[in-house]
Amino acid sequence: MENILQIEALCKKYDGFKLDDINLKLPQGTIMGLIGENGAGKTTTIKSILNTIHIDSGKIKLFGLEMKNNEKEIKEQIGVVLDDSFLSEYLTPIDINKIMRNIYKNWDEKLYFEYIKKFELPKDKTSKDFSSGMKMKLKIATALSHHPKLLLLDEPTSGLDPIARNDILDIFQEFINNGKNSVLVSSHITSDLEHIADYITFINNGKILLSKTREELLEEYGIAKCSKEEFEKIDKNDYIKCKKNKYDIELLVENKLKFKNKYDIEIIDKPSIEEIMIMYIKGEN
Amino acid sequence: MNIIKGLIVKDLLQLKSYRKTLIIFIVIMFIFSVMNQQQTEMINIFSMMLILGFGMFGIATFSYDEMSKADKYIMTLPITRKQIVLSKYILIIGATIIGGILGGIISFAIYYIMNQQIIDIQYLLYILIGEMFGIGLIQSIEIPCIYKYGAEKGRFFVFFITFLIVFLIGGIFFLYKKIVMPMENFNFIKENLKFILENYMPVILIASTIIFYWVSYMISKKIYSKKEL
Repeated sequence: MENILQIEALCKKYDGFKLDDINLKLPQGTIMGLIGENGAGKTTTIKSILNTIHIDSGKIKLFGLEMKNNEKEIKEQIGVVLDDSFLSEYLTPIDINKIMRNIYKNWDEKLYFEYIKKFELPKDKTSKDFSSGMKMKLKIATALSHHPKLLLLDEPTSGLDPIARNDILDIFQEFINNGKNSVLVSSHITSDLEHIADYITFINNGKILLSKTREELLEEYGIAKCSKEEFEKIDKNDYIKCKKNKYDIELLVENKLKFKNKYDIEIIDKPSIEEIMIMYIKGEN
Repeated sequence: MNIIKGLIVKDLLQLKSYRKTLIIFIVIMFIFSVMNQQQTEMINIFSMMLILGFGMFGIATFSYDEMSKADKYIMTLPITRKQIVLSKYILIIGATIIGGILGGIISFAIYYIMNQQIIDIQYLLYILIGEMFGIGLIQSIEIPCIYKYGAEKGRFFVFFITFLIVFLIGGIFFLYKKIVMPMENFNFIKENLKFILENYMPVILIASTIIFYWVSYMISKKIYSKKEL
């Protein structure tokens, strides 16, 4: 499978924060969820991919091309949705069409208005009167209407109600159905990604802690619960993190079947992505 | 070129509300000018206000972009940073020139309506060129300041720097008058300077305005190429 996006050894340093040795591969026809706390480095990673910030070192390739020398060509094929930035709210969907048809070579006016109709957005009203969900749908319609091959989305579901969130997740799923398109979506709402992402990449403190398929995470990872006596017998290399509660100890294990076979522990739960994330951040080694 | 057109269309569309204000402003100024007895002076002020108003129209787009944080999004589109800066200069310089032309036409009309005679065209052109030079100078300082410090902070810097320039120019004139003028040895230079200023002033002003804008564009381009959004 061809990689639409490939990041190698990406580093970017700020005062008090460092994006450190980020390596990432996004295959064609898949959705990757970028998860992590606020300030973990998700947005910085997306900004680096888009070249809106200057990276210190590393290589970023999109569609097999390096961003440095092919920026315009690459950006023609990317649809971008940013959480906190879009065109002015004093513009109507009709205005946006007038602007974008000059900007993108492949801008598809017909497709754009089909999305506007599908999302039930008023064509001639300024978006400042739109609800958060409507504003997000307008951003997505704009991002999709030049037939991009890759969607880069920074927190597209934050602040939305469950129904609007569901609608938006369906759009992403539909987008990759042709097997050629891909999506990279950052979110701190991990439950959204549990439904749609093929790959989950977890960033913490500027470093990638894990990057695995959703199945690997949800089916193989486990949270074992054991007593203090049982815990003392467990080899430190057999669990990733542990969390000591009042009555028991929770262990995050990479392969719950293997762990179960080795140790006689009965309760091993199937964790959610959120639980894995919390164990990684809050747990002890 | 299409991309630059797209960016200018964006700026013009998002200034819809400003357009109304500008038209009301022109109408009020027009009425005020017609009613005033001192026509010639009013024409000077009227044309200057128009150039200033139209120039501000372009500068106001920075505030709109800042409010919606549009810069960050625009950078994700297939547009180079150079094109983003160039589109702003085209818009601002274009708006200022349109302001100047409109100012000239309306001033001409006011003078004709009130006096039933044609205004001295050379005088009107000198006024317009002088005003465009002044406003061009301010904009040339203002735009790089906005790129460096943002639309709000940039405005503070422009007041400071404009004050400094006025002070400097005033200082140079003062020194010239007090020190160079009384000196007899410099008569040759003084004569030549007087000749150049009297005959080539408009050309000097136009050339200086173009140079100011060009230097300003080069500085803005450099600032924006390093900017992280």
